[in-house]
Amino acid sequence: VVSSYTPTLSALINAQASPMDPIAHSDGGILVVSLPDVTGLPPLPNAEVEASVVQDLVSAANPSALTGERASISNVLTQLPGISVFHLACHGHQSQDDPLTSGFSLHDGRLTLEQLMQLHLPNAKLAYLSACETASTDEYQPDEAVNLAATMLFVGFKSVIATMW
Amino acid sequence: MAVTGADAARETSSVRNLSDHLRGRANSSSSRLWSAKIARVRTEVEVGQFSSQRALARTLFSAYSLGLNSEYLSEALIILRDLHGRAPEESLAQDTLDLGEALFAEYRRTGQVKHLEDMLAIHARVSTHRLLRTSLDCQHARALIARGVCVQEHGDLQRAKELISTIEPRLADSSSSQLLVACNVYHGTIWRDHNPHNIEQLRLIQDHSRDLLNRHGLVRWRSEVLGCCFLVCNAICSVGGNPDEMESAILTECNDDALQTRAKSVMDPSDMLCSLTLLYFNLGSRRAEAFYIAKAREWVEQMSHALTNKAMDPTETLHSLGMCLYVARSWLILDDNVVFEDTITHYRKAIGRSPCPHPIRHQYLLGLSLSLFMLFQYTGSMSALNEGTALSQNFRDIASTSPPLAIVLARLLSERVQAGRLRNAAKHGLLRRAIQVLQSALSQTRSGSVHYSPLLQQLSSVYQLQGDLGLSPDRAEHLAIVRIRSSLPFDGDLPEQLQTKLDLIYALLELAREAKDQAALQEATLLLTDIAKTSDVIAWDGESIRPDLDLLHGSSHIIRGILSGTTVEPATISEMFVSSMSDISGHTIDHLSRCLKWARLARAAAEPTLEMQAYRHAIGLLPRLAHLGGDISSRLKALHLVEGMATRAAVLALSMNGVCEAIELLEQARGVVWSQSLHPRVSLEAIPQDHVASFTQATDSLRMSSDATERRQYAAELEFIIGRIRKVEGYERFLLPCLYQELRACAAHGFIVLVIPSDTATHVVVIASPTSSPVHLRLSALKLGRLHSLTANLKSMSDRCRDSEVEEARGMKKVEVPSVKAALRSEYVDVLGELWTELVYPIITSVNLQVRRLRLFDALFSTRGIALVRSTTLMVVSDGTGRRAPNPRGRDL
Repeated sequence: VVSSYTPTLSALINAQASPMDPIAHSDGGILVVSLPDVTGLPPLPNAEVEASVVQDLVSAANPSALTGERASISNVLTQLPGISVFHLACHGHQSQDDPLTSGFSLHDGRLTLEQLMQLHLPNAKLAYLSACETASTDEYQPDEAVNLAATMLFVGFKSVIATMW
Repeated sequence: MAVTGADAARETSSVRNLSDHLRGRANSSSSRLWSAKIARVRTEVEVGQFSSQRALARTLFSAYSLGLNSEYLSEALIILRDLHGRAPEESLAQDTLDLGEALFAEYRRTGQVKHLEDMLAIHARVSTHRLLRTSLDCQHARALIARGVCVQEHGDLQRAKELISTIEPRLADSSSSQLLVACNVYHGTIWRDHNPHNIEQLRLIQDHSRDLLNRHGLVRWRSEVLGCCFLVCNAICSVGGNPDEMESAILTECNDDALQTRAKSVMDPSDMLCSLTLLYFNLGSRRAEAFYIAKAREWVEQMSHALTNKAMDPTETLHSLGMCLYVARSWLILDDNVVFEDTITHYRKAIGRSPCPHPIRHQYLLGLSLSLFMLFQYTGSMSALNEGTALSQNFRDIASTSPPLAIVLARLLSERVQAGRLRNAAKHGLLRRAIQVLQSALSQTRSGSVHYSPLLQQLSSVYQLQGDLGLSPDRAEHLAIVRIRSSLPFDGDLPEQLQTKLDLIYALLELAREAKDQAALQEATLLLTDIAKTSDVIAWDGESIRPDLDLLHGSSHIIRGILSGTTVEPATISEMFVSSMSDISGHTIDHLSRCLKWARLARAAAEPTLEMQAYRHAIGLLPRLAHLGGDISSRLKALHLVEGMATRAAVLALSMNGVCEAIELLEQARGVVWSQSLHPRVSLEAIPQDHVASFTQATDSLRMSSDATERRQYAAELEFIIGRIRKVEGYERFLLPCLYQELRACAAHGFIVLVIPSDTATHVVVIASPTSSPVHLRLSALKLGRLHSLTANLKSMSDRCRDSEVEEARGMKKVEVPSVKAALRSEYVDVLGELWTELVYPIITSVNLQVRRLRLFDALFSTRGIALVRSTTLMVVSDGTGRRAPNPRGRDL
């Protein structure tokens, strides 16, 4: 049994509005982003291994992989509209001061929540956010949860797997 | 050695020649050359000889005036003080003038008011001197104005005004530029204090400035006088004048090629150019004319850019950039923060480059800090707020000795605390600092000073804030402060007095409630009766104070009931609440704040119905936050005001058996940001066919527009279209908050569990299916504090486990993982066991779930063990049918 979390009941109702059929080839591509090393942050030695395992598992779907210099903000933002599954293995950060600046640490900077909010991804199905603090909130935050997982739901992903640590 | 008046005059002349000569060459001289010149003059000094000493003092002063070493000014001051102390009657006036100029320069350098007071004292010693009387009077007026502005002594300003009026007739015989400078400084000061009640005075000043210009026609001062004219014009229009006056001022006053050229070149930003820019902006915004606003924007951007790149005196640059900042902030009201942010960036750089000494530097830092706070207030930028708070550390020591600065600093710190995102200890620390600064300033302020009452008021506000935040203020001291305040006469103009009285009544009522003080209640009632007599005709900034008065009347009724142990008639209070909330004028934030005060009051009086009413009203106001600003950041900032309200409202609804209402309130109050952002993304299928095009067009326009005026228009259009859609049968609730009947659909694929922790218990609401009634559980043993503690423990454990795994994987450290894990395992057992017993088990038993298998520890230490632990905490449940049961919660612990 797997329990899930939702920022609001309406978000869940919206996600359930379209049937959650098994993901098919015709739904769109798979994007796997991994960044084991980012300047100024501790290395993530298993990020590359994780990405490799995921790619092997879905090799039949011919996934796109972005790593190193190619894992840039613009590349990710460009590729997201065409995909249905998004797997990300990198550093994440939930900003205590300004939640809109929370984001994923990519090669050329932080892909922020504010940038992600601009997207509209009606075909997106699953986001697997293998990064820190992607579903965490902080004790100073008002009642509303403004974090990366909620943002992914907002932009169109039907399901999001995120972390609370 | 005796020196005659004639000698002194000759010497003065020769010294002037020398100084002028040196000044003329100064621009091309290096400081080394100046040092050599000063050394040469120094060799000519004979002890006790007035002429040579004056020459040295003036050379030193000239060197300092040209931006060289400030030690030159110090030495010049020593010499001039000495000369002034033993000057013969004939040269006393001239020596006084010289010393006055040096003292004024020292005041500007150090920011210390004592130099102005020295100036005023030496002026008082000079008897009437026919030739230099006008110059001395002008210098005296300048010192009075500077002191009046610096320490906010209106008496000084008044004396300066009287003095100027006596000097003006003498202008017929003199073209004293000093007087014009003094007049303009004075007018600028009056302008800053403008209010609707002295509009006629402003008009007189405007006429007077024009008259000065016409009579003397001094090209050199033209821009300064015009600057004053424009400022006055701005002031008149800002207090209700006709915008046509602004256009007329622009057309008539700027009908000058030289002026136009100067304005266009923007290479010499002056008061005139800044106030003209402001005039363009005000005219544009009053008439909604994009041309004037665009013109003003172009100028302010060019000015700040030119200033940053221009090689001019750093302090002058800062002064001019300060004026640009003043103008640039106007764009904030149009929800356009780019102009202001850019100017702040230039200002910040200029401060970094400026070599000005500490006291002056602190004043600029204060300006920067205030601008950052203003940026935060309008945009919700936390980085601006944090930078502003950090900067405020710089002027804490100065603020302790300066009442106006102390008040400003206390306000900044209070703002920071109210902005949220701080732990209670940090909030407490900041407010304690504000109190210390205010107390220190208060200890040095006489009770008769104009600062006394504002300091008390600010101190009272800080105590009030402490109380509002539950930070245990020093009640005895607060009470003492409020009592002193209530015994003081009310200063200021009528609206200001009114606001002071409202604040005071609120403080007295809070004290009456907290300290059960009948006398405080009586004092508040008396003031309230007094204020109610005038309230019908008075408004503050165009906003009625009726809702505040209703709130205060309601408060006094409730508190009287609490103190006397009698029951207050609920209908009466409810009537006051409805009256208070029915006025929709004013700012949404003020309405929300009032609602929360009503709720707090109702809670204190154990009036749950009224408290619920207040919460419902407040939550209904939340969607209006979307109109506060164009971006999500501003909405998030505004939401801090209502932090925790959703939970309090839901818990109250649950205590009144309103389970469905609790769910609706939670959903509505916790989905403001996302709901507002989702509006433009509503599915086209959810819109009546006839309205798809208009709705899509309006939402697209709103989304793509960056111009605030346009955004308001598009928002109004969208509201109109939404209203029309709601009139279509079947679409009555289009984009309205969901009712429980709609929300329960979320349980179509499994149980929904909402966990609502509070200070007294944890409430759980389970929606088992769309057709069953929601179930409410009250778990008294698990309070919010305990949940925070368990969350912290879990975080600490996961951090330790992750660190050990990372280090192991990097091969940096040989870690005996099993031993670490064994230690952690025991801690996990404790924490998860408690969560299981106190939270999970009651939930699953309440809805007849069966525990099939508990495999927590199998999962614990796998490769991604911690992830599993965190996501396994609440998931070991099944409904026994094999159906997957996702249990979304509204909020994490």
